[in-house]
Amino acid sequence: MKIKINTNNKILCMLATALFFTLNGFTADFQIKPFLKKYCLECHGNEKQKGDRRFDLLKLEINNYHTGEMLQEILDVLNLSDMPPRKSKQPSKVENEAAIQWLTKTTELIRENLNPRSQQTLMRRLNKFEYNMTIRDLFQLDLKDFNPSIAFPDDGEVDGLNTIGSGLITSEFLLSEMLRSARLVAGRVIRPGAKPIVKTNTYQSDSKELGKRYWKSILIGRQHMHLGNRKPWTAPEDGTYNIRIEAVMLNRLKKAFPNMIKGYNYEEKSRIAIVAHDSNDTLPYSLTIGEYEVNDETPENISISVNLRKGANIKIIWLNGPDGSTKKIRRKIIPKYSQDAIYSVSRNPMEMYVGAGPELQIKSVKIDGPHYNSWPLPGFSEYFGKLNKASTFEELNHSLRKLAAKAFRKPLNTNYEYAFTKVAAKKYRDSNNIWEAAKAGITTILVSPEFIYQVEVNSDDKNSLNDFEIATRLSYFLWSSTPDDRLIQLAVSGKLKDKSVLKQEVLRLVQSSKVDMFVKNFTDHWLELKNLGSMPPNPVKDKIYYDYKLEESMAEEVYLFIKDLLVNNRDISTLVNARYSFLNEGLAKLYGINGVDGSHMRKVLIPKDYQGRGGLIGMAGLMTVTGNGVESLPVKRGAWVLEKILGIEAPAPPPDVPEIAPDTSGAKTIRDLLEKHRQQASCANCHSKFDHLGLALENYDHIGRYRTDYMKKVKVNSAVETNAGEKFIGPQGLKEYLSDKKEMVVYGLVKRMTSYAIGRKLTFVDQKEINRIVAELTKKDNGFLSLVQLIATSDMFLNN
Amino acid sequence: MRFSKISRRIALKAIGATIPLPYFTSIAGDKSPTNNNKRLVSICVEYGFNKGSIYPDTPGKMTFNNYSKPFEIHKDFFTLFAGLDHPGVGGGHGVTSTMLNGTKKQMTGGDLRKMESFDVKLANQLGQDTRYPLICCGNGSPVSFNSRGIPYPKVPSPERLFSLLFNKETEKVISGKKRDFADDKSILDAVLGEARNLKKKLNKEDNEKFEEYISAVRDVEIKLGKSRSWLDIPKPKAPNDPFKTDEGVPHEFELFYEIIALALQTDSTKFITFQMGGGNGFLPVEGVDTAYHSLTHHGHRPEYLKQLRFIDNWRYQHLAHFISLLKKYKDSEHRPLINSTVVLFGSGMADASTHSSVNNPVMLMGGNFKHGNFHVLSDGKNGTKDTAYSNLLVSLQNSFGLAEDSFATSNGDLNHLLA
Repeated sequence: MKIKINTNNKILCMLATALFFTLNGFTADFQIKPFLKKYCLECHGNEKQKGDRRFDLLKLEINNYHTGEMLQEILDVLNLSDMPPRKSKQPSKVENEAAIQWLTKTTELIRENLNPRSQQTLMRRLNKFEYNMTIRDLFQLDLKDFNPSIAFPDDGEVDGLNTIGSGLITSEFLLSEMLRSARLVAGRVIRPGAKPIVKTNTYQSDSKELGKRYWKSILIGRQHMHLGNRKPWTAPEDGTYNIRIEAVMLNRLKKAFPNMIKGYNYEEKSRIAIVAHDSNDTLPYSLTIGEYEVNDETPENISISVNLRKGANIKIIWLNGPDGSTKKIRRKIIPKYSQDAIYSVSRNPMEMYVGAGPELQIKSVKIDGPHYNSWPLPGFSEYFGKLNKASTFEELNHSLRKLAAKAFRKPLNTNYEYAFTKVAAKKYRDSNNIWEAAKAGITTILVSPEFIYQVEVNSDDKNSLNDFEIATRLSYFLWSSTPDDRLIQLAVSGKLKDKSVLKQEVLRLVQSSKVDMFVKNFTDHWLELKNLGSMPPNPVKDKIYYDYKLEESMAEEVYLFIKDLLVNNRDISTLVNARYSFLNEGLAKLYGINGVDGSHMRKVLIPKDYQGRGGLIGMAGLMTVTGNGVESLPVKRGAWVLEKILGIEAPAPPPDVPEIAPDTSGAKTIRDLLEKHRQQASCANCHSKFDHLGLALENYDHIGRYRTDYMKKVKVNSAVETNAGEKFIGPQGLKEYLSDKKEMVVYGLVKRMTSYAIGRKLTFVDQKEINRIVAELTKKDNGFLSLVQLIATSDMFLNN
Repeated sequence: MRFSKISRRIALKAIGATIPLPYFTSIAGDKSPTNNNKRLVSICVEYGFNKGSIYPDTPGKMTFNNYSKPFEIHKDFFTLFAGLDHPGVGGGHGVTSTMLNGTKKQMTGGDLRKMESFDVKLANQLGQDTRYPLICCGNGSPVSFNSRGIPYPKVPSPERLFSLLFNKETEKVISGKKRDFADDKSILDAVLGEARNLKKKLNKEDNEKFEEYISAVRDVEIKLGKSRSWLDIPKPKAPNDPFKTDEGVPHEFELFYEIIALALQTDSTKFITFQMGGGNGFLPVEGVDTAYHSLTHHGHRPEYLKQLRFIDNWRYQHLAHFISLLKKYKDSEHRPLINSTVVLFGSGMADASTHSSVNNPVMLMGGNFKHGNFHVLSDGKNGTKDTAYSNLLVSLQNSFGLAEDSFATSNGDLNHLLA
């Protein structure tokens, strides 16, 4: 982001200089330069510039942004007693206090004298997540079977957040994909005519009649069966379908032919997945509808109801069947259990092999649909319900304008011919078809800049957002989606600048289920939870991870925890000192907690001092994203705790230094290896800031299980000491250490969430507002919801 | 041999043009009389491969071990480099993506043009006369980036790659597409007008940012124009169907290789990048019983290393078969494809166990090069990086007739080793 500094105004400059002299006079008993020279310049001066910081050239100017930023940094490290390093010469207590006092006053003065417009939010494009949520809410579409942004390139992140304008790039590729998606959305919305007729299809395999069809419904390996024989069944329309599958598993319990069948486990109940897919569609589509266990020996029904898109086909996959291709199994394995068989399967009738080995039979499938909760579909009737195929273009344009006002999040200009009108008019002329014209209009709206971007236009040289821009910013902050009718109504009546109304609206938005989108998107990026699943653990050694689908529960635990903090306005320090969490059977098993049965998540009290659980530290999902699927990474974990929980930016790893190679034989612990690394002074400087935080967490393995030794060979040593000489042991010790640092946790979260909400990096100038928010929050209740309200009513939020 | 270099400026002078031309198909096309290479297949293995399965004991003439044996029949088309590194890219999983551009976003200082990978650069300049200037396929991390730092879209499955190249479209589908193109054009024209109006109201910073949108609209229009002109030219018929085989179901990697060879043979494209995915699945290789990602974190355990080398050998078999196909298939002048096709096989990741990018093995096959050697350019001890990987990328660009003398972090070229 570019910083504009007002240096042209001579009068202001002179005035500022004068002010500065006054200040110097006022604190004449302290001089910063000699202080810097005495304690800092050895490492941050002419000869060395550690951490890229150099202070000997610092210009003491009151309207210099850079000076302010530098002095603020120096103030911060002095406040934290982070600098000078412990082994170096230390300032006396009196000196230190004088420096802090001088720096505090000076930074304040500089802040006041800098142009308040030196920071602004850069025009923001909707990110992929926001795009989806906006489409969902605009048209009341179900996105379970339709991800309109699936083919968009990944959004750029700034400081790990996906809401910052400078990171959200618009490329030719993105725009062409947006165009393609827009057309698909338009096709889903424009559904005129009568409700589609419900059709029922039944597929039977008659076991008495061993025809070709029958064979398609017997699975002998990890293979799949399509619905429909020669011509696969496809969904005639977008809609809801009921599917009933009658299936049975044969010969598993008999354990026929053990050791002969590769990759098959007789102990496991057979599982099938039902998958909807459509490879002919413009957007790739493959959706696992569900996984189900199949009963042994007696057929049982599996019934489900699911949304399918037009053209989707259903396939049934035997997930844990014997390994290898069907052909291989038929050629190499089946002849072994049929004595009469000669080598080539094609020369033996298939019925020769029936009933010998483990096989999964699909006896029948019944599918009926499409069903709809209401018809016409709500998204269609809201904007286009009054139209019919004989409607005039003016009537259509009226509908499109209604939609566009909502999509652009503001009233339309009355005397302006928008792009969507031009395109729809042309299509109407060319095709003489009202629905084709409507689709062209919708497509155009969805690629128009006013839809794709959160446009904030400064009027009358003022910096403040107008009511509609506030509605938009608030809605994308808490819902990742477009403002609803009430927010727009409030904007129309000009009430959103009233802070009490705004606070009330925050409360309303937080109470809506759409707030889950804030919880998800903010948590995913703030805590890096989005990386969960990118480093899958070993399916054999960490079987529990797959058996209980822990990946889902791990993420859910964090979301539920954060949502609970928000909705119930709990004290922010609960992040680190909670005595409860949200668990299901699988997670409880991983944590070694008894008495939690079933897969639904619920609030569970954690026994006192139990493994350091409760709060973010000790959540399996967060320990998993700070590992690599095979082992814990204490350096990464330490840096993570420092950044995400204590809110201090961890120095970036220097280039060309590989990760420390783990000694997987278990003879040397990662701690020993790190110790060696830190013996080099150049490494120690950075590592001493966070290694201890990660080493304390060594009691959690790469999926957050508690351990006291590494592979039963070496004991875990999680006793650590901080730079300042504080000592603590293990996750529980770290939890208590962090609880004592409550102010830092709050401060860190305030900065992070503000940046997320206003869509830009915070600058030195924002410090004052941040400090005010922290002070008011602490005075009030330190609550999570209070913080959201303070941010939404802050100057940073209400100004561009 | 000497690479024929034609500098842009000279070419411009010669034809008396004053406007900069974006590319020179006439110089690069099949009809050109030079010995320039014409096709490029870049293959990136997600977690790299193990040095033990390929490095001979001594530099010089290339020798093969039990694992690398599949390449023996191609020894006159085979060169191996050791110690070609991308300085500055550091460690971690991100290094995989640096194979073809030698840089990371953080290193560009905001100048995203530096992110452009060398395959994209070549395709932009030399690939415009084929239906697909560049095809990226496979499921691995992205390695091809455009000059805005955006990964090139990939074709994720062999089925979709095959249908992209060979699926005949009916008249109805084609006329539907033409209608869509016309609609797209009118939409883009209209929103461009709207965007220009909006732009006037924005302040300076937003105005600069919004330029992205405007140029994206213009670029899409150009792209649509190009795709539309290919609609009237029927796709080639597939010379054979790789999905029909007697031997069970071939692995995804094998299918990709087969189809890539067909794509080159039918001249559907000249530039293909294959991002070979990693993951933690079980690969169908004899003697392997541990999940792949877990194996790559071998920590020098002999049992893990052995299995990794089995996997490498399996990959080498596929690759060697691919080279055989390129020897078999002929170009329009009835010369084997391999003579003018460069195959680059490697990864940004040199050692998966430490996620390091130091001492990176790189295989170069095919094309018009002096082959048969194992070149050791740095021993990787103490993490030293003397010769940049990008030096090779400079030489490869030269071999296609581009007069570049630097790329990414290069500090020279390797023309002396290859010519």
